[in-house]
Amino acid sequence: MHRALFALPVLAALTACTGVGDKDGRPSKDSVVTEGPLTTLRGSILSNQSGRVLVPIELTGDEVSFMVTAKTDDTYISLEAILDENGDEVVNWKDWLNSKSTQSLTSAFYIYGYDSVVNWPVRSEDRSLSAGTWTARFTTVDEDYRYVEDVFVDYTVQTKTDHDLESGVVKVRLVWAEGLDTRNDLQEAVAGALVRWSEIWAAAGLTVEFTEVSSDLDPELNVDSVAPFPNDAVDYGGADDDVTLVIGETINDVRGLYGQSGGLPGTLVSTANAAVYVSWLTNAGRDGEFEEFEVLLLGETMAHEVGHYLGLFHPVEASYDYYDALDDTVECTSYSKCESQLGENLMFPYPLCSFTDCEPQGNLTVDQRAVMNLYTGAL
Amino acid sequence: MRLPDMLTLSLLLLSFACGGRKSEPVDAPATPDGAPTLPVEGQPGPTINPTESQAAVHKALSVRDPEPDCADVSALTPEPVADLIFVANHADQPPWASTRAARCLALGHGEAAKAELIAWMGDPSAKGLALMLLAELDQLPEPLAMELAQAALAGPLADEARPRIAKVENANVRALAL
Ligand SMILES: [Zn+2]
Repeated sequence: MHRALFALPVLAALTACTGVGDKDGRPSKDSVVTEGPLTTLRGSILSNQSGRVLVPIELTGDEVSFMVTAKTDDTYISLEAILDENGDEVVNWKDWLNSKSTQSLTSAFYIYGYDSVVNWPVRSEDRSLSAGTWTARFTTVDEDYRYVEDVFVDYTVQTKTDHDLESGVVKVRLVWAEGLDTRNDLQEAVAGALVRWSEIWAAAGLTVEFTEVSSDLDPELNVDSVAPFPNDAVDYGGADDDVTLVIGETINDVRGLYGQSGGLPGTLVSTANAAVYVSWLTNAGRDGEFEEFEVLLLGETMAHEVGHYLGLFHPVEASYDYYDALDDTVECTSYSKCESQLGENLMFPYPLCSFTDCEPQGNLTVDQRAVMNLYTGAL
Repeated sequence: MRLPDMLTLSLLLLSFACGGRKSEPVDAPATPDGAPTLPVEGQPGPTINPTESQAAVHKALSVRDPEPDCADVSALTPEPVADLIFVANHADQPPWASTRAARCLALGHGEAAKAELIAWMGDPSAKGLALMLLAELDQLPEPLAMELAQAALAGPLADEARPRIAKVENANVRALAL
């Protein structure tokens, strides 16, 4: 953990270039900023003739993880592969999205928006980083999944050199939709929820540092994977090292795929999907008032949703036939087995509840903790 | 941080964690066909005995994310209207089960459940359900949306309903709030 370094952010280097990547798909670097253990490099590039985007990741050998965020204006983009300094593939989407696959590693492989985010390594068992220039290879495609060339792509490469993977700080920026920040009942409920969330994540060695932001966002949140909302449209003071959590009244989610988390993992920089969304109303139950047990569940929901954002999948989906890619979360095949073996896990897809009681659900396995600590924003 | 008195809250929550969240099981008399045992005045809280299909609907609606599809939930039971109403009215936990049940009722079974939906709009103890339905007015057939909005504006939730109805896209419904 390098908390002290955050107090003294250091602008290590700033370079500026003009133009964008050239027609051969060569990148243009725009800026490099280092703050403590986190370095953020921004650049741009055009997709090449085969619809590929090769984002360079320059590593000194001191980094423990990187995150690449690539976004376009209006073209779907997804990760195809990561290559090491020798050009050898470290991971390829075909190994994870095929007819035999029953595990999820990263949402970066999915074609669902105009941005794609990958954090590497995902797991402690994944290939660790080595010095040299690695490459994240993305593809730009149209609605019919045909490759598209000459697409302008903004990319951000973030690396962290925090070698302490047992503990860290995750900065979370709470954005209140308009008018909600003045409601004492919601303030108290969220404050209690943050305590429960912090307690759960403490088991992973992670401290959550919260800041709050008021906004003019409509409390009836419309969430769309390809709409520039809300972070692209309005700057609510986000930095390149924090996770955004938007609290609204209701969520009209047309993303479908992930529910409330903007990605698995989600990005630290601004994109259409750079936020986690929580509806206070659905968490307040039939009477719309927060009881104590609902505050606890709200905390677990926040810890769960932002857990997705840090890269955690459900250990088993509610269909009981699809799993995360971690060794220490069992691959159960029926609801009764899954509930008994994984029901207390934070990332189980639903809390175990009768109509009147829920079991506490905050456990994290060793492998899950490793994923969280390898997230580039866990510093 | 404007978060109030974190210490008090953390102590409160710690007491939860130590004391356990589950209440003691209540011995309930057997009820025919798993029908719910309704609360009796002067007795400890209600014991809910959902039927198999009600339990299935409840479990499906309990999933945190992604939100289950209402048609899929309705397909779990031969009596979707009755079972969704039951979950909306009796499922305290998780809190999103009841609000989602109300939403599924309105979107998929609005006419059949209309009496119940209208009752919620005027019931402060169902404020969460009412606010959820107000957020869906633009997704509902106009006659049903009008009736729900009118019921909300005529009852004790009028103050909370009015600004929400004033935001809907349907001009006829929106006019009710003016
Ligand atoms: Zn989830």
